[in-house]
Amino acid sequence: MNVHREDRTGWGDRDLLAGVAGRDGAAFSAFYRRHLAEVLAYLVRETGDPELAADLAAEVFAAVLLSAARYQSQTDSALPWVIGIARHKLLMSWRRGRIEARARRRLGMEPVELDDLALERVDQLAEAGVGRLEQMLDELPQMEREAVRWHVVDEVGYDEMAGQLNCSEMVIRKRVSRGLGRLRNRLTEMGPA
Amino acid sequence: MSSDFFEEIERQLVAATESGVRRRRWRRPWLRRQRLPWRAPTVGIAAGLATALAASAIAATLTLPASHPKAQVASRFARTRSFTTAGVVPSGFQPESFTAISELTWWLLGTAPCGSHTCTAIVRTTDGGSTFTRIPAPPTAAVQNLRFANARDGYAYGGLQLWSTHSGGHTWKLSQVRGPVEELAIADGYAYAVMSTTTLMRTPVGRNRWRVIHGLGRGALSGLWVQGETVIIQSGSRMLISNDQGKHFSRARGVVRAGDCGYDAVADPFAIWALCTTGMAPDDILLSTNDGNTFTTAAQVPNGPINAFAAAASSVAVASGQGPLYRTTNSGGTWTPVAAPSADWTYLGFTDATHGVALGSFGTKRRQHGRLYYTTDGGASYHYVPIGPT
Repeated sequence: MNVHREDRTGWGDRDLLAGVAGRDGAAFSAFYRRHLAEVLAYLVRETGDPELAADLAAEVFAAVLLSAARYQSQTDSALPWVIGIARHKLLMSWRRGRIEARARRRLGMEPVELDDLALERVDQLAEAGVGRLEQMLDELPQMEREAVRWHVVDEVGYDEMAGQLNCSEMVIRKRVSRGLGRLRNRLTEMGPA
Repeated sequence: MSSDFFEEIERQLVAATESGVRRRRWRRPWLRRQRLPWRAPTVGIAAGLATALAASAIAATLTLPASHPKAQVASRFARTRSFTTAGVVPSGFQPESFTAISELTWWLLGTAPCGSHTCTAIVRTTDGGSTFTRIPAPPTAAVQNLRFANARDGYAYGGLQLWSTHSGGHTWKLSQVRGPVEELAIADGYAYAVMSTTTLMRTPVGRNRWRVIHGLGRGALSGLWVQGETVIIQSGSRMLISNDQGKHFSRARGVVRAGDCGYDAVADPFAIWALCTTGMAPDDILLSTNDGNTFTTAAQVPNGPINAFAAAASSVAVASGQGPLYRTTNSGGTWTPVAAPSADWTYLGFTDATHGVALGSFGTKRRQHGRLYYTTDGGASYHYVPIGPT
């Protein structure tokens, strides 16, 4: 991809998003390329459909652009934030029975055709991205890993998890919170992809 | 990589970044959730928005967002048929759109399995949710929203289709529209519809005589809210108010540079709540108690972005982000959890200061089921209303 040639690859996510808010197209380009694979990995895993995943990924990054100025984080990596946006877009799509296109409509983006080449590219990118996500999850303590997977990935409610694990909701909430905290710290340590 | 999907997406987004993120107006699903286009008695309305609104509110019509299936993937979610006959509530009915004309008489449009398909269905209760029966739905799978003005006159719409009934659902007629029906609200003998985000139209209830309402400027239209003779709508970045059923509009100072806003107003004392967003999160909830001249920002609702919002009074509102329901009783100063189960709340609305409904989506994303909840204490607590065969 040769959309922008300015080198922003050494920048942290926080700086890139600040740049995006300041109309720096190269900063957006760097951010997009940095996180596209992880976003696709997450969406392919959730939907099992490369076509839907690609469509939603476009929507996710349009939302990133709209929200860049409001990004706030204690850590440098914005991946949890981006994955949160992806999860929200996915949930909205399932709930409404259509692919979310809210951010793209607001930006006035033109529809883009998905061809076979693009779908192959989705698989390639998702495969590359899934490794990083899985690696981070696998490094969590077992109970925290299960809690994060159940709640964040499989969207099981705290009450249901508590019932199945025979413990209080508070315990589950703490496990999820600690797990996500570790993920954030790990992402910061790993730095940009 | 050759010029592919992702490269083109990047190109467009980089261009949008460098041009300063010029946002286009778009329809507001949460506005449909929160809107309370109360039907009002035809009375002389004195000058002043507060007076106008205080004189109304005898019933309510609440709706859920319309869907615009993306052709490329629509087959995954498509509905193919509808229940066009009266009968019992179909097994597995999933409510999507709620409308009411009194505390006792409600309708819900939703879906239910029908063989190997998913069909549109409409159910009605005339005893406040104790029992439900199925009424005929329009012969289409395209409608996702339902509004009734009274026991006879109603509208079902979605995408490019707008159907009307003047027989309580016994028969439905397809209307000619100018584009996608984005929003539809009913008040004081008129139905108002935003079509293609550019045109506001109006027809007398009971007839299909849609006429364009002028004087709204060139901005994209969204955030339609009507009550009595009052019409509030957002045109571009401006909030417009009419006190004469859309004959004349004046600009309220409204919400400035806060992104897309939807409005919800309550009477006695009059207040306008606005839900505004500039992106994914956080959304801002704002409140005006001076006819929209100035707004103050409420505290952030936990677990944003806000997915559903409704105001019960000038100081009381409920909202839900990506988790529990929250309620404020101090004009947005603080939000406290509501006694209701954890769910993805997709719709909230009030018919008056104490009675309201909530639609929640339970289960996992692949096996979701919708449930209707009802409140009689201004959103402090909600109880489950089963919708099933009687």
